[in-house]
Amino acid sequence: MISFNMVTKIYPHNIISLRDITVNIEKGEFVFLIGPTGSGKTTFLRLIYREIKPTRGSVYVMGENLAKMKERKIPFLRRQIGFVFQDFKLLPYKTVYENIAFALEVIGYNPAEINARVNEILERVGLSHRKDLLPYQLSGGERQRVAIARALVNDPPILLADEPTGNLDFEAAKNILDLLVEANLHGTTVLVATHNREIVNSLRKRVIALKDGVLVRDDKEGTYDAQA
Amino acid sequence: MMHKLKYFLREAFKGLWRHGFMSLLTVTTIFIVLFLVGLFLLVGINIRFSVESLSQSLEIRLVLKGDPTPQEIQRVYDKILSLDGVKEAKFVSRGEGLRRLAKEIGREDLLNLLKTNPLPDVFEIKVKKAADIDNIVSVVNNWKEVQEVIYGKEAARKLLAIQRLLLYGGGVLALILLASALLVIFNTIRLVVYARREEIEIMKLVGATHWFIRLPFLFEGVILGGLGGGFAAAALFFVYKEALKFVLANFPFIPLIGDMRFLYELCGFIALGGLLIGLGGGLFAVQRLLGKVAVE
Repeated sequence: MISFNMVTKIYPHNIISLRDITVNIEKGEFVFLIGPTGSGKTTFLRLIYREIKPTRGSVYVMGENLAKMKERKIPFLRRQIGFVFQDFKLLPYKTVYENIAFALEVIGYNPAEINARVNEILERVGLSHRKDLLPYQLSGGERQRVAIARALVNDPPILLADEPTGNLDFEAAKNILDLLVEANLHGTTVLVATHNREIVNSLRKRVIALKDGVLVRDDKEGTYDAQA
Repeated sequence: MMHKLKYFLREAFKGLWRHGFMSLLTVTTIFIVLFLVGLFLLVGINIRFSVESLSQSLEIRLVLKGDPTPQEIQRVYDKILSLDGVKEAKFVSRGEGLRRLAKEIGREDLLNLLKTNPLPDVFEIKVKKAADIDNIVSVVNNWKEVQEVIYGKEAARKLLAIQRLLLYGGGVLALILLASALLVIFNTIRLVVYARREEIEIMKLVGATHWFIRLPFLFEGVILGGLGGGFAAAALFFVYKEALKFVLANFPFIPLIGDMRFLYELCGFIALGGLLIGLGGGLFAVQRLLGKVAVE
């Protein structure tokens, strides 16, 4: 599904963000990407949705070599990937319903289909009763659920989450995680970058650890800290 | 297809409404800039028109030697008409000259008083442009049939100076005006761009194609530019019509262009200018955004 082959990313001014990363993520996996701030987690994700290209090595997503992908094909790659960010990235002037519908409108769904899909996903994340509210009227946890609904409304094969629980208390974070796990049970490949120890430890999923841009650990049923 | 078009239009109008202040700012800017450009053009075209009409009233008087035969007069007449820049020439015989003089001083019996007619035969030449006068005068001065050439040397020189001033001064002013107009519009667009970064970032994120992101912005640009240009054209039309009425009533000697076709053309040009500025501005703005906004 996602495959990194000796990937190195060097930003301008010779800042090395990732160094010789080789890793494979299979279809249907649930993976935590962990490591301290600045370890290269976000760069790892940005390479997958082709916001940046690797300096060396190759990144394959669903069989496509992203380094060779044409600019105009990038939107179609992104329709296969759902995104969840720490800061939610919701449009403040659109209601909950509109924020989710927006993701389908821009890729050309017709209004009837949009309506059906948005209502179904709102049900799934438990926000049907909040659909006419604006983001500022919601709690942090609710906003992140809207973001997840937007990411999943299109049934993408891949879901990327960058610190999705970063701004949330444990209870809300657990709730978000449940939604990610549920998406994974539906068959979506889920990759979560985080440094939330409790959450990683509570699930015992595959853990890929980065440190200073180097892959230091890849455990099948891992925990946040290396086990002795 | 239809629901896509509906989507673009809806998004365009929503965008305009949501960023009401920015929309107002843009329309106002385009309105002011195009109104000023139009006003400048109106004034410039009219001054040019006045100067041209004044040049046409400039006259060269060609005084003929002695007592020319009708054949000689005809030959001179043909030579005059073959010169560059001559608009028309009229022969005034000495008899005709005396009659005019008598009429001017109010003594119909002037010829009886004078016994003989002291006036010469004269050609009155009108020119197309003030700039042609010097050339014509230097040529006719050398003709053997010509005794003297009389013309408003000073007036011709001054008119020429005014025309040159208009040409160069007007050109410089127009450049300054155009440059500041572009600067103001460019800055307005930058403000608009800044306000819309987030929206575009999210559109890119969820997989919108570049054209899908561009179109609502282009619609917005065309609507804003069209409104600004349309208002400017309407204002110019109204202002010129009123000015024409006022000048005709109070200063009838000032020659303004009364033919409305030129005004229609100018207003159409201004309105079209607004549309193009809007389209170009929208394209430019969104291009900057697409290039600069990264999904983070």
